[in-house]
Amino acid sequence: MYCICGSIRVCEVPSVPAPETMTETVEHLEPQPQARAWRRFARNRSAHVGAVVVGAMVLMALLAGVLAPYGPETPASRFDASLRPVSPPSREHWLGTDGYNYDVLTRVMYGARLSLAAGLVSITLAVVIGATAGALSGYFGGWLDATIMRTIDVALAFPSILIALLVAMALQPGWIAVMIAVGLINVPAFARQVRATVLTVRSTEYVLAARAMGASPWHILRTAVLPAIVNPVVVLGTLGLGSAILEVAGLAFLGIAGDPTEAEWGSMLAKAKDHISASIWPALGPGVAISLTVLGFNLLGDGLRDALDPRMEGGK
Amino acid sequence: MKHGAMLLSTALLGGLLFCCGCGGPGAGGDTQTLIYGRGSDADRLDPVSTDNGESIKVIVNVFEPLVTYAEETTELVPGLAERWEQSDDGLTWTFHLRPDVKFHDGTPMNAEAVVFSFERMLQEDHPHVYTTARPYRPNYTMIERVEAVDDDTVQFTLKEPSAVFLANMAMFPASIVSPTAVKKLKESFTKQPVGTGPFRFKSWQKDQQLVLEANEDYWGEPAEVQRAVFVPVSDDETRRRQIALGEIHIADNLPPTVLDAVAKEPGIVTQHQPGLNVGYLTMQTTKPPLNNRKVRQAISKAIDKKTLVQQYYSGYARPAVNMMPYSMWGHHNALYDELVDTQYDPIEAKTLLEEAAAEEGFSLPLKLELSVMDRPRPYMQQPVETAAFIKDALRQIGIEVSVRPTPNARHFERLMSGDFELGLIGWSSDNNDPDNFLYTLVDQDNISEMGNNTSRFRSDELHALLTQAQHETDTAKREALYHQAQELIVKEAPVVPLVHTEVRIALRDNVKGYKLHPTSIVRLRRARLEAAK
Amino acid sequence: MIGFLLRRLAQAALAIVVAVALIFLAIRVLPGNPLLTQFGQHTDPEQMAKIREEQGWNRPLPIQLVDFFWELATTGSLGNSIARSHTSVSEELAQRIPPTIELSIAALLIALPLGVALGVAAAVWRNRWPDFLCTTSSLIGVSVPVFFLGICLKALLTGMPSSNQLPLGTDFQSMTGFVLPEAILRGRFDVFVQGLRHLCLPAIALSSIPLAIVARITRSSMLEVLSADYVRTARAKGGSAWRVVLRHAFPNASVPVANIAGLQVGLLLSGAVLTETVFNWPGLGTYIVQAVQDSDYVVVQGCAFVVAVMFVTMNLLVDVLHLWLDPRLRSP
Repeated sequence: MYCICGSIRVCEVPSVPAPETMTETVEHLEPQPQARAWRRFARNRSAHVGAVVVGAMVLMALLAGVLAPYGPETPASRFDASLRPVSPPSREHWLGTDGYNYDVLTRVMYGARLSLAAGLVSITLAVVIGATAGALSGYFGGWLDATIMRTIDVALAFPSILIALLVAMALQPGWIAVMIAVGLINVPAFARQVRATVLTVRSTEYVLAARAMGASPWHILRTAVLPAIVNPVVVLGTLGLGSAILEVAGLAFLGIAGDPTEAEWGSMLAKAKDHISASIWPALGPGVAISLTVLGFNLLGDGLRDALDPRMEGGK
Repeated sequence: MKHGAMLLSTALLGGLLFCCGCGGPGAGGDTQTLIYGRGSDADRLDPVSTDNGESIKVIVNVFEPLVTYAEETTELVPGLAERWEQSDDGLTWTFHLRPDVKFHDGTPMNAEAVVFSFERMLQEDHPHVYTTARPYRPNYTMIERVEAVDDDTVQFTLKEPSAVFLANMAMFPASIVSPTAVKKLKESFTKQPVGTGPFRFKSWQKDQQLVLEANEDYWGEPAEVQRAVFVPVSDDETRRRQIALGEIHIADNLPPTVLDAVAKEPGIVTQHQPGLNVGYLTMQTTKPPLNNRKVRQAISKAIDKKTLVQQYYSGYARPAVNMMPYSMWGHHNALYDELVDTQYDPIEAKTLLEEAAAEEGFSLPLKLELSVMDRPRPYMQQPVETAAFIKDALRQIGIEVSVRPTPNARHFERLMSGDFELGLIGWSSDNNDPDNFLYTLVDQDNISEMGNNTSRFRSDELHALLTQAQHETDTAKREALYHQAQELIVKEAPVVPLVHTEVRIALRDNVKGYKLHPTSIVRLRRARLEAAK
Repeated sequence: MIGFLLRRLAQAALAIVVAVALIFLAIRVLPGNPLLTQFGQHTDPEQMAKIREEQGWNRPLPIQLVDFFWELATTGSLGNSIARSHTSVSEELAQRIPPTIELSIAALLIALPLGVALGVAAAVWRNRWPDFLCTTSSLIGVSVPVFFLGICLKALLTGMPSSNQLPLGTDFQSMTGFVLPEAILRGRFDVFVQGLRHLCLPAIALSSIPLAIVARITRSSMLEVLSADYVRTARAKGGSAWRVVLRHAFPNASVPVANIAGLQVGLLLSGAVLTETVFNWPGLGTYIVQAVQDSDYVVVQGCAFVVAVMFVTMNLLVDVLHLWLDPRLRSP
C-alpha cells in the first residue's frame, strides 16, 4: 500500500489515500447509496460535533451584524472615553479590548466572515483548477497527463507556505493574493484525487460500453465521471477548508494579507502578540476561534469520508 | 537509532524542566558590553547617504562633526573644531581644527579630510559618493566653497548670509569621514564606517546585531564601556521580555502600552523627555482628489488629535497644530492655542468634503489608501494603531480608508518617491532650528526622489517666506516669517500635523550615566554598566 | 537497487532545476516588476538603466537563467540582496539554515518518541483512555495553529526567553550555527544550558505538527499490523503481550510511519516559518518573510532554491530509509 511512486510524493491532506488505493467500484452504480451514506453519517457522533461547530461558525459569520455588541472597527473610547486599549474583560466588553481599543468579541464574530469567505473562495478555486486538471489528465492520459502530473510534482517540491509567500509577493499583498495563493497550494490534492477517480471510472464496463457505442467524451464526462468525483471532492473539500482557513490565517499572521486593521483572525493574533503581557484575551479570542473552526471542519470531513466513501479508510 | 532518538529527547525534556528552574539575566554579568535594543535596523552608515533615525544612532557614535551639541542641551559646542569665527558680512567662516585627532584607521583628521567630507556632500557627481541619494544635501547648498587654509584651518565661503549654517554644521550629515577609508572601501563604506568618534565600527549582521568597540585612541574622554551592541528586534513584546530578563540594557521604541507595563517591573527605570519632533499625516497633493484643498482641509478637521494622544500615546504626547515642535523657538503659539481645541470639527469636515465632491465630480464615499510604517518611530510610536484611528475618523466624514503597512525603509522610500495617497510619517529634529522642520518638510526645494517634502506641495509664497527666513539674521524678523509660514501651511493643509511625542526609553537600573538628548540622538560614550544586583 | 537510486537522484536533480527555473521566470514575468517595486515609480530612468545593466536584467531571460545556474555552480553565489545593502545571499543563508535545522530536529526529537508512544498505546488499548488521548491530541495538533500555540506558550511561561538562540551579547561566536552541539563540543556547558532554554518554547510549539501526524499514523498502522496473521500466530505461540507488540508488530508498523513522517518535512518547514516569526528565531523562515516584505526577490529566489534542495533531499532520504526498513522492496 505504501510504495514508492513518482519522484516526489507528498500528501497535503494526510488523510487522502495515495492514488493506488482508489480502486474499482464506483458508488453511484449501487442501489441507494445516498441513503446508506446518510445512515452511516447519522451514527457518527464526532461528525455531529463537527457539523455543529461549523454550523455555529457559519451562523456567527452571517449574523455578526446582529449578534455583535459593537462595530468591528469602532473604538471603545467612543462609548467610554476613559477606556484605554488592551483593557481587560468587563461587563461591556466580555473579552476586553485589543491594541486598537476595538471590542475583541465583536471582532472575533466579524472575523469569521473574512476567514470563512477566504477559505471558501480558495478551496473553490482549488476545486475548479484541480478537478479540471485531474479530469483532463486522467481521461485523456498521454502527454497531457504527464505534463500536468509533472507540474504538480514540481509544485510539491516546495513547502506550501513558500509558494503562498511567492504568490503574495508577485501579486502585491492583499486578500486577493492570499486567496489565490491558498487556492493554488491546494490544487495538487484535488488534481490527484480526481485523476485517480477518473482513471477508475474510465475502465468500468459502463464507460467501456458507452465508448464502444460511440458516446462523446462530453457525454461520458457528464454521465459517468462527474457523479463519481462528487463524493471524494466533497470530502476533500471539507477537510481542505479546514487547512485553507489555517493557511489564510497564517499568511495574515505573517502580515501579507493587506489591511491589518480589518477584523480577521490571523491579523488579530499578529496584533495581539504585541500585548500578551498586558492581556491574553485579544489572542485567546481569535486563536480559539480558528482552532475550533478547523477542528469542526476536520471532524465533519472525517465523518463525511466515512459516510460517503468507506473505502477511504480514516486515519490511514 | 530509534532508542537513541528516544534517549536524546528524554534528555531534552529533562533539560527543559531543569532549565525552567534556573533563571537569571544572560547579559547581567558583563559590565563591558552595553546592549541597546531597538525596533528596527539601520540602513546605510555613511553620513551623507542616509536620513534613517536608526542609522543616525550609530553614526553619531562613530563620527563627529566640527561643531556639536552639549551633552544635555542643544547648545552648540566645539566638536572636531576647537573654535571658529565668522567674517563681518557673515559670508566667511573659519574653523580651527583640533590637532592630533586620528580616524579609526589611523588617517590624520586634518583640513584635507574636512574639505573631502564636504565635497562629497556638495559636489555633483563626486567620484567617491557611492550611493545615489544625499537626502540632506539641500541643507548645505548655501556653501559656495570649502578650502583648506593650512593643515588645521578650514574656511567655508557661503553664497549668502545664513542663519542656519552653524546649526546645520552640528547635524550628523556634516560629520567628517576618513578619506582613505572612503576611497579604499568604496561601496562598502556604507556598511563599514570609519570616523573619529568614541566608538569604532566592529561588525554588522543585518537584522541581527551591530557591534561598536570603544576607540582607545579617542581624543576626548573615552567611552565607559568596551562594546556597544545595537540589536534590532521588531517584536515589541520580545523587547519587553528581553529587558525584563536583562538580556538588553536599553529598550528603545517601545509602544506606550508596553512601556507602561514594563515600567512596573523590578530593576527597570524609564526616562522620558519631550522629543523635538512631529508625527504627521502627509497627502499626495499632485494627484486627484488630494490636489483639491478642500479635501485636504476636510481631512485635517476630521481627526480628533486629543483623543488620539490619550488613547495611543498614554498621554506622553501633545496634539500638534504646526509642523514644528511646540518647545522650539519660532513655534506659532497663538495659532496653536486658537486651533488646538477648535480644529477638530467633523461636521464642517463633512461639508467641505461634500463641496469638494460637487466641484470635482467624484462620488462619496471616497476611497483612499493610507500607507504606514510597520514598526514604531519615536514620533509615531504606534503607527498601525494611529492609522486605525484615522481610518475610523475619516469614515465618519465619508472617506473609506484602507491601511497598507510596509517595512519602514520601503515605506519611507515610497513616500519620498510620491508613490502613495495618504501616508503616516514624522520628523525628529537634527538641530534646534525651525528651518529643519518647515523648509525640510514642506518646501518645494525638497521635492525629489529622496526629498523629505513627501506631499510634493508647491507654493511660491511659502518658498519665498522660507528662503527669506534662511537669509534673515535678525531673530525677531525670522520668527515673524516662520509664523506666516505656519499659518500658510495650516491653511493649505498639505500635511496634517498629529502629535509631538515624548521620547521614552526603558533601562536596566544598572545603566548609569546615560541621558536622553533633546534631539533624540543616542550618544553612548558616557553610559556605563554597574554589576547587576 | 543502485539503478533505482541513480534514477531517483536524477529525478531529484531535475525537479530542483525545473522548480527553481519556474520561480526564476515567474518572478521576472509576473506583473509585480521587482525593479518597480524596489525603486518606486518615479525612479530616474537613467539610474534604472544603470542598475539593469549592473544586475544583467537587460539580457534575454534564458541567458539570465543559465547565468544564475552557472554562477551557482562555479562560485556558489546566489547573488546579492537588494534591500539589505548588497549582502551576499549565500553567506546569509549559511548563517540562517543551521538554526532552522536545529529547531526542526529538536521538534522532531520531541514529537517522534512521544507520537510513537502515544500511537502504540492507543492501538494496544484500543477504545480505552490512551486511544482517546491519542485521537484527541492529534486532532488538536492539526487544528490549533502553531503560531497560536507559540503565543500561548509565551504568555504562560513568562520567565522563559522567547527569542534568538542565545541571550544577546553572549560571549560565544557560533561557527556552525548549530549552537547546542557546538557548545558541547567546545565544552561550554553554560552556553549549552542557555541555548536549551532558548530552544525550549519554539521547539515545543513546532513539535505539535509532527506529533499529531506521527501519533495518528502509528495508531492506524499498529492497528492494521496487530490484526495481521503473523501477529496472531506469535500470540498463539504464547509470546508475552509486550514482546509481541515490540518485536513483531512495531517494526512492521514503523515502515509507514517513517515514510509519512519524512514526507511531512514540508509541513514542518511551513510550521518553522510561522514559529520562527513568533519566537524571533534567526533562521531561514524569518529571512524569507523579511525578504518577501521587502520584495527582495534575489533573496527570495535564493531561499526557494535552498528550500527545494532541502526538500527533495529529504524525500530522497525517506525513500532510501524506506528501502532499508522494508526488505520486500529491495528486489524490484
